[in-house]
Amino acid sequence: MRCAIFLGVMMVAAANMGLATDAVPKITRAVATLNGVFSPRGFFNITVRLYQLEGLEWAKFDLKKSRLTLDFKPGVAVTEGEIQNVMMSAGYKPGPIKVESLTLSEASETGPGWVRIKHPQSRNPVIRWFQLNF
Amino acid sequence: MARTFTLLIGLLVCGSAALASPATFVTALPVARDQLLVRFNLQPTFATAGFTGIQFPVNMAYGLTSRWALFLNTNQGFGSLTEMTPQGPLHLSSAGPGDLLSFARYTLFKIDKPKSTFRIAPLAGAFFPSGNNALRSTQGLLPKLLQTGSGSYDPYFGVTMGYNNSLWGTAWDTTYRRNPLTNQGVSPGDELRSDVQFEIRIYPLRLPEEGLPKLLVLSIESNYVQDAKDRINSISAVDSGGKILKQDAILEWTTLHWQLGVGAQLPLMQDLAGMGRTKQRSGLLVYFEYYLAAPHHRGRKDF
Repeated sequence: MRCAIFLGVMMVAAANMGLATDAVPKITRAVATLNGVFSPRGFFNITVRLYQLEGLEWAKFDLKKSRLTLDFKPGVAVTEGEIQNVMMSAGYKPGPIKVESLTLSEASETGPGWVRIKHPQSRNPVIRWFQLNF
Repeated sequence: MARTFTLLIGLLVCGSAALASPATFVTALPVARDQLLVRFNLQPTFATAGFTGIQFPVNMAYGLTSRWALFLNTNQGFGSLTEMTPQGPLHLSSAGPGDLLSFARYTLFKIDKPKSTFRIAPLAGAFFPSGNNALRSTQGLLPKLLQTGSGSYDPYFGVTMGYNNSLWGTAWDTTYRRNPLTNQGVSPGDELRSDVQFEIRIYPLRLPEEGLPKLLVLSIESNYVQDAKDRINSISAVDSGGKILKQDAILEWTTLHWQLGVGAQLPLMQDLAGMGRTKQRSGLLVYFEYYLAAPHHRGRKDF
């Protein structure tokens, strides 16, 4: 009987541990290769569109590899198609795109090339525009 | 009467795809959808006959779609001329806004590769007569050099092309400005322009593996302008028209949000018809360009 109770307690504990593991917040990261972007100006053309991508927190530009890395808020998912649309609407032809899921500790939010993406929330469009650009 | 004032406006109206951008023409400037680009220019010019001019053109561009871009170019400035007369030197000057240029550009053809990009885009628009072609002094009508506008709505069209890779780039454009006769029966001659630019990254020499470094770019540009003869009551003016070729060297510092350019300009050829025409000796170029996201509706997802 004691063994059965012990086993039951252990199973509940293990299950809770499992739940705890599942509850570790994860972020979505998209890595995209761009065609036709070789300058900071070219990346700004993309950044303009990124402002409108809900849930996007950080973007990193690698000029040498013409590569864009996007980190989203925990729980926000993105598809390859959405990233492709961003690049095409900016006037560039999208290259290969990889979408992956990372834990928060794996996400790099600082360092060379990382830019925080603004999402102004003001109801006033003029204030929203100033918040976006300055 | 020369037409340096309007030529100076032309110098800055015409821009490239991906590296930095031409300083003396903006037709090939890359503009993404929902992007606003504003460029502030300062252009002092020094010429013969005691002419000195300072222009402050402002170029604005808006990306309507990924292929359509709208441009608005304003110009304002000051010109001063000293003329020798039998009574002694005569000082003349003028100031004010020049003609307003608005045009639309459509990217007709583009090839985006991982290592390079190439674009061809025709453009069309018009100059609006916000300048003045009848400025006067106490001695009468000011010479054309000091007039700030053509006095008419002038159709403007052309084509631009750009190629860039991560180290160097080139841009080219050819444009035509038709100057119809004004109500007073006068008109400056039509203007054919062709510009070519070559640019190369000089810092950093090697790009870092990661990140977005600020770039220092050297841009070498040439500007060719061919003016038809002015018309006065349908008669061609003898002392007008000609061909001018200028060479520019510009250093450009470019970042994610802005670009700063500083350069010098020298005329290589000034084949001006007639006698006593004013010729440019040298010029300077300074510009600051800032990129903005255009206003958009909240929550709009219309990529």
